[in-house]
Amino acid sequence: MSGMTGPCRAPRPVVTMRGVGMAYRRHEVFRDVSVDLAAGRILGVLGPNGSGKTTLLRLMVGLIRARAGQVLVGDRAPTHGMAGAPVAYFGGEATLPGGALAGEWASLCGGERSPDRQRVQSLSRGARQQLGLRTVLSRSPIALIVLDEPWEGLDPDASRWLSRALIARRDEGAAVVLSSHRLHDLAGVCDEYLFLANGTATVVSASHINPGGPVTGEHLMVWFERTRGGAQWSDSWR
Amino acid sequence: MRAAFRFFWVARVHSGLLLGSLAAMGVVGLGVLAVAPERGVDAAVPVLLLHMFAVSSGFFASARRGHFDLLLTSGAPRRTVALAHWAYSVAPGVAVWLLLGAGELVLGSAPGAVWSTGSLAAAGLVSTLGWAVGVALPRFLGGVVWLAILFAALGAGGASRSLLLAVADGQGAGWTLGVVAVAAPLLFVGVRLAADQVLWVVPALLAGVLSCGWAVRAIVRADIALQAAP
Repeated sequence: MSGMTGPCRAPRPVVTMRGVGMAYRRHEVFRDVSVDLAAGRILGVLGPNGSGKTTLLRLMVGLIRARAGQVLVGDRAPTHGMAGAPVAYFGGEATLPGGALAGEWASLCGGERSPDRQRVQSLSRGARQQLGLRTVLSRSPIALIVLDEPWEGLDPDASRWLSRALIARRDEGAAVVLSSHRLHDLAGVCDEYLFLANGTATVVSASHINPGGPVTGEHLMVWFERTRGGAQWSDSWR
Repeated sequence: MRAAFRFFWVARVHSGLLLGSLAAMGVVGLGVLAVAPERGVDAAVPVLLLHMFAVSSGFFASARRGHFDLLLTSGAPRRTVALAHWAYSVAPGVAVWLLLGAGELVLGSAPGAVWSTGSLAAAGLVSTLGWAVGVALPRFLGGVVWLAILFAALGAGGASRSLLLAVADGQGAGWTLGVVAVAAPLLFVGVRLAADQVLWVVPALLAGVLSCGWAVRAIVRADIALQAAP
């Protein structure tokens, strides 16, 4: 039977996490995290320092394995970086090797090789961040983009470029996962939010946070306080 | 494999200083062979010494700083990444070694020190065991440890010093040959091993190959959690 006459089916998620738990030795980072992220959606991950945002993102791209539960990217577990869909991941400018030449690094994902002979370590923090972001975003095709603190170190122009680039990739059908403390930047692009606090996760859609209107950084702050069950952390955001 | 190899080139797994030093030692070695073809040991030892540091390229130390994230999330199988890292780590030293060997064949009158059985065993051990041990250590530490063992054993005097000097003179025998090959491969450069001596060195070479397999397996199975840069 043609799918046109049947019930409308949601697209298969690009990322599926079911009951995922993670611990480093005896220290539990989080437990029972479940989330589905469909193609063409942007998920923002929020949480205080040490809540496990980076760990969650590295689980999604297969750099580490969950201690409990199941992670699927496309139709298979992303173990050893072999996800079931092409992935672009960037963990921040500090992860770039300082000795690499910027022009060569930019060409690693198929981007154009520029004549830039500067070493990564000699670039400013913002320039390194842009280099890393532009390099992974030049990968094609991409089904899943995972960026850890992508706006860190970027000036307003570069921040706008990043937000537009992410929205463009989403509109092209990529699923995007972002972690950030910059709530206003997150609020400008995300369709869903995952709040990590006290070892647990709460997933909320943008339409649920502010029905009928755009989500702002203030909305996110209020929601985080609600999910965390306390107000002290919000002071560090102001 | 090619893309992974290129990644390690771009990520500068080897510093320019190390590559430059190896190239310089190769040129100096060729000069030595041109002047005195019988002094192949003098040409080969500095190259093997630098090779010991080059192969100790410290995969996990770099990976846990996120330096290899781009490659590890590219879809390349981890086994390919590990083998490319091994190939990239040993390539400069092996290339200079082959250059010296070619120079020795062209300039020398007989098969010389670079192609001796002891030299080949030493180069093979450094290229396998050195990389495998270095995978889990900070960069260059494997080379430092090897040198420390050599100097400690020589400096201790007595039986250990006599044993090492006997091996360097081609007089070693029995299982201690295998132990010395693992602990101080530099001493094997230029040594012409007799057939019975080769039999005692083969287990050490096998241990080197097995250690490479262990290191590849460790890379394939490892969780690469991010650590803050020091």
